[in-house]
Amino acid sequence: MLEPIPSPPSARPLAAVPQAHARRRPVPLGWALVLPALAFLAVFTYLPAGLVAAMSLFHWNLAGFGASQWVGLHHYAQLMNPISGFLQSLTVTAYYVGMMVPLSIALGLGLAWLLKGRGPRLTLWETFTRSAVFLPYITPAIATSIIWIFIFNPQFGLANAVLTALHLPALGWLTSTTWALPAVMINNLWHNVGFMVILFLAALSTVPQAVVEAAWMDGASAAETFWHVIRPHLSPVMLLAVILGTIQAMQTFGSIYQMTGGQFGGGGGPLNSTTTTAIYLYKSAFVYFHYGYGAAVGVVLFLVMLGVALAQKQIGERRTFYR
Amino acid sequence: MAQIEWDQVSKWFGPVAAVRDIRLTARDREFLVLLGPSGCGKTTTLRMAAGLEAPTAGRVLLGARDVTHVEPRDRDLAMVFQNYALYPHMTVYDNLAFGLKLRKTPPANIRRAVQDTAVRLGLESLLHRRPSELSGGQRQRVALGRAMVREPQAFLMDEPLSNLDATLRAETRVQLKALHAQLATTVVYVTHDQTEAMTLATRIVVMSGGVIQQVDTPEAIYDHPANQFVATFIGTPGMNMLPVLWTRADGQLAAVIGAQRLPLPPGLPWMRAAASSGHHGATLGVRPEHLRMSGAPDPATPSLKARIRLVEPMGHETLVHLDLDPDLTLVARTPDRWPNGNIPIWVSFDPRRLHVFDSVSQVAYEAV
Ligand SMILES: Nc1ncnc2c1ncn2[C@@H]1O[C@H](COP(=O)(O)OP(=O)(O)O)[C@@H](O)[C@H]1O
Ligand SMILES: [Mg+2]
Repeated sequence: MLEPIPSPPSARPLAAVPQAHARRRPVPLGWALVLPALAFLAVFTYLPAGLVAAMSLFHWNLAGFGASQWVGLHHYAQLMNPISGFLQSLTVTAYYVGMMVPLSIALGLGLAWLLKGRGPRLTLWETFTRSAVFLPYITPAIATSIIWIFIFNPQFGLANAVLTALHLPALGWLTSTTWALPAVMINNLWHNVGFMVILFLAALSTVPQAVVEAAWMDGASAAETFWHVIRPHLSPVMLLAVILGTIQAMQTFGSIYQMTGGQFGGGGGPLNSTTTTAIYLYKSAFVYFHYGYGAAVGVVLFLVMLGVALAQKQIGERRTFYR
Repeated sequence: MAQIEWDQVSKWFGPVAAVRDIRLTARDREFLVLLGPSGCGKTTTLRMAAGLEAPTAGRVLLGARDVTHVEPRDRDLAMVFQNYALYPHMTVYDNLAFGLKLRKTPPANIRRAVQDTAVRLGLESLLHRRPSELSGGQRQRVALGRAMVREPQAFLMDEPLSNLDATLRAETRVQLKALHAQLATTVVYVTHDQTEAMTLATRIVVMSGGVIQQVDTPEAIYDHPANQFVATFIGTPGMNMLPVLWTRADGQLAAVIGAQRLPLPPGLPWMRAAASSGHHGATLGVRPEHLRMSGAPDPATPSLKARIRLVEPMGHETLVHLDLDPDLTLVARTPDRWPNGNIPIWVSFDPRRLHVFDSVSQVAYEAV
């Protein structure tokens, strides 16, 4: 008969693991790594920006600082004079930005909602529709704007054909001081919405399905689930979309210039109704060759954009939920 | 009445049948556990009760009401998700209050209900934290609280303890059992952990491959497994399975196991069913704890000769792996300690402890 064997001896505790030494930061290497990027930025961004700021204080001559006449803040005083049209360009810009940002976000989010994958994998149709929506964004605005000029042709254009078919009055579109800017907006909504769609598709994909299902189980309707559960998950991207959308709208130039006849001398018409600050800047510097004045417009536009973005960030962050 | 019924429910995901022809009723106030290996269709079954998945065929009933096409929000069931699925942007308080707010409960009642639930689950000091500021165990309790606070008709739980460490899991298991006794509400609980199933369940539903294998009390499932799958899935280690051929010696039935012969006493309950099956053999099952080992043969009890291959000391018991033949192995579970090594040994068991399964259908022979 076999005997049961005794229990094994108890295990000894493990030796203490030595503490890792605090790591020293190799400062020179870090600087060496960022230097190329920094140099690039300095030469092609900060230096020209500084030059522009300096130029705005001169009656600028293309021959350089030596040939230019110091005028101090004279250009800035001119800007503030209503006769210069600068203040009106700010109003046009505000109207344009104020319409474009909410519209492109609403449209982008709506399309993203329709295009978000329903199954575990994207179907061919879903891939196709996503590409179709994104395609305009990667086409040059200058080129596609020509198509929109045809669409908005008051006599032969598609836009008026649609309005007429719906028994609505035809519009003058690009020849009308009221409808020229909305026509530009429609073009740019179509052109830029793909970017918003991509942002919101990414954001929607971060909403955990189980959390949405938990809300359904808790009794939330589709609308309540969107508002109380999905929307907070989107808030960081929403803030990003507002800031990027604002900057993009403020900088819009090519499509406006193209659609309002810039290539025939000027753009921004009819009667300055589409002269945003970006158009105003271009015309000051490169149509009227008033470089110093244009530089001053650029400086003010930069400051306005900076101020708006900072304000949006300040206000937005308080309403944003980060995980 | 909080009774949930699956009436001939099937669910296909494309070509894959996740669940086939489920006929099952979770009775009022019962703790029904769906148990089975990963991928056997437990979650799908639960989600169809919740309304998160639509059956391909069949009906789901709550009490007498057909809810097959009713939205989750109109079923008044609460679900505890495996990864808790708390609202990350809400405080614990708001997580608990959310369902009540949606139902337009008066604020004073919400406050009282949340407070009561928080006290019950020990969450009072955490009410103002976000889920990201909680430990796994705390999150799990918030998930439970969110389900409880609404006083739903029934709870659906999908592996709610699987993300906890072993100690916490054991503790929470006990709390869950006590909670069920207090709340007296129907619970349908999904797990792949048989300990959870055995300890919590009023009845266990064992599933495999989208098909229900057996529905019964934990004791009945353990003592009378309906088929070989249930017998080997329940119990750690699972039941020993020995393919045998029948033979007769001196008018007595005997099993030929490998090269050995084991005489069996007459009058065992399964014998008539085995005889009427017409098969020449069957599969014998015996639980590891029912094997007795001794260093010398006992002439009074028929026994099998084996060798010790490996010994796993567990502290409170020892698992002894035995070779009957090179390709016939057994595991025995004993409170005694045994030495490792290639040692000859004699194994016996009470023949009344035997489970006998049809060698083709793998179904247990019953007394006829
Ligand atoms: N949404 C789905 N799409 C495709 N197949 C699925 C889906 N959900 C589950 N399945 C499949 O159905 C089967 C059962 O899954 P599930 O119910 O999750 O099992 P369990 O919870 O028991 O692990 C598995 O084979 C799984 O791959
Ligand atoms: Mg599962």
